[in-house]
Amino acid sequence: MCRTLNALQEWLQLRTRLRQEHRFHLDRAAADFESLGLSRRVARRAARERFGTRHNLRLALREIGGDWAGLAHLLRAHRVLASVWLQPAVLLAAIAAILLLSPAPRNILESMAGEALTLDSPQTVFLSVGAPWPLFNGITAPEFEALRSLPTLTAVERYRAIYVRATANGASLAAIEADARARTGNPGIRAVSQFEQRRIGMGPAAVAWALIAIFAFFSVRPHSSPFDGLRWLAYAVFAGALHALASLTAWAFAIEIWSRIAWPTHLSAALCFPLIYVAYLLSIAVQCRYWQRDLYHRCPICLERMLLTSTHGATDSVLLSMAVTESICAHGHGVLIESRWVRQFRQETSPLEALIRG
Amino acid sequence: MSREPSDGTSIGLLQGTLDLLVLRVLVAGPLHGYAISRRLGELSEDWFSIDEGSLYPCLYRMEKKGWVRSEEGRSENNRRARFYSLTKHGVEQLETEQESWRRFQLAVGRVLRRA
Repeated sequence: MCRTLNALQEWLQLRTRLRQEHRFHLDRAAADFESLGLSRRVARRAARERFGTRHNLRLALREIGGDWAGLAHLLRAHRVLASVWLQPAVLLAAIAAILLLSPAPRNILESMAGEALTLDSPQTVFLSVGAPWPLFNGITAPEFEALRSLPTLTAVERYRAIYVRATANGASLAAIEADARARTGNPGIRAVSQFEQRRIGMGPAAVAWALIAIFAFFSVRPHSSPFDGLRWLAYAVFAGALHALASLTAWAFAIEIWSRIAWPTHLSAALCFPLIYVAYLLSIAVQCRYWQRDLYHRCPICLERMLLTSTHGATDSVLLSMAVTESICAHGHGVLIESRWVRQFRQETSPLEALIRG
Repeated sequence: MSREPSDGTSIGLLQGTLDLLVLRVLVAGPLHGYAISRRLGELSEDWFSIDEGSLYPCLYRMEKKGWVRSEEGRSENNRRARFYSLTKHGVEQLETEQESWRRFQLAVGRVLRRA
C-alpha cells in the first residue's frame, strides 16, 4: 500500500519536475543567445528551436512514464486495478473529500443518516415545504435568508440540505408558520416540532442490495462443502457493505449538489430534486450491473474468480468459428464458456475424479 | 537525440551512449541539466547537441538506478535548478561502461581494419 502511494506521489511530481527543468533549460539557453547579441524575442525563439518544444516535453514525459499511459501502467504493475480494496478506498476517499469540501458537512451526515445527529430540544422547530411524492420541494436560498430574519426564530440553519431547523423564541408553531409564510410569500411553508422521517437515502440502495443478494443466491449452485456456503456469505456481506458505501457516496454527492445551488423558484427546486434522485438511482443501477458482471465471472460453486481466460475464433464472425472465451475454475469445478450468444458453465470432472467415483 | 551541426554533417548517438557521456561529464562535479548539455556540446566541439527530450529522461532513469542523485540548488544567475551529481554506484557504473565502450571501439576498429 505504502509502495503504491509512493509510486503515485512520484508520478504526480514527475510532470512538475520536468516542466521546471524545461523552463530553466529554455531560460538559460535564451540568456546565452541574448549574450551573443540577439534580441530577447529572437533569443527565446532560437532557444526553443534548438532545445525544447512542448513536443519534446511530451516525449520526455512519455519516455519516463509521466503521462496517462504511464499511470495506467503503474496501476497495473502495482495490481491496484485488480485489488478488492480499490473500490472501498475510492469510496471512502470520495466521502471524505465531499465532507471536507462541503460548507455544511453536518447536513450531509444528517441526510445520510436520515435523521438529526443530536437530540432536539422541545423548542426546536422544523420548517419545510409540503410537496407530494416524488417531489421534494425545498426551501430556496431567498426563503432561507428571509427565515433567518424572523424575530420568532433563532439559530436558523439548514437541515438535510433542503429544509430548515431553528429554535423557537417562545412563539407557538401556528404563529411561526404564519410569520414564515408572510415573510417568504410562500403559502406552502409548514412548521412542525417533530420532523417527518423520509428515509429516501438508503431505501433504493437497500432494495438493490436485496436484489444482488437474490441474484447471487440463484447464481450459486448447491455444493456439499459448508465452506463454500461461508464463502458465498462473505461475498454477499462484502458486496452489500461496498454497495451501501457507494450509495452513501452517491447520496452525499447529490445532497452536496442540491445545497450548492441557489434555487430561484419553487418549481425549479421541485423539478430538480427528482432529477438528482434519478441520477442517484442510476448510480445504484450501475453498481448492480457491476456486481452482476462480477458474479458472471465467478465459479457458481465456489465463487472464486475464473482463471486462465483464453479466446479462440474470429471476433468479427457471427455464425462460423465465432469467438469463444473459456476460463476455468482454479478448484477444478468446471469451465465457463462464453460466446456472443451463449454463456454456459460446464461442470467437468478430471479423469482421476471420474475413476474414484466409478 | 543529437542534432545536425552547422556544416551539415550529422552524428547519431548509439543506444546507451548518452548514459556514458553524462556520467563522464558529471565526474567534474555537480551540474544542472543545461550545464550538462552545454558541456557535452563543448567537449564534442558541437558534434553533440543533446536536446532536453533525451537528456532529462536519461537523468531521471539514472537517478532511479542510483547512479546519480539530484538536489535542488541555485544556479549561477541565482535561479532554482536541480543539480545532478555522481553516486558511488554511478562511479562504478562509469568504469564498467567505459570498459565496455573501449571493447566495443576495439572490436569495431578490428572489423574496419581487417575487412
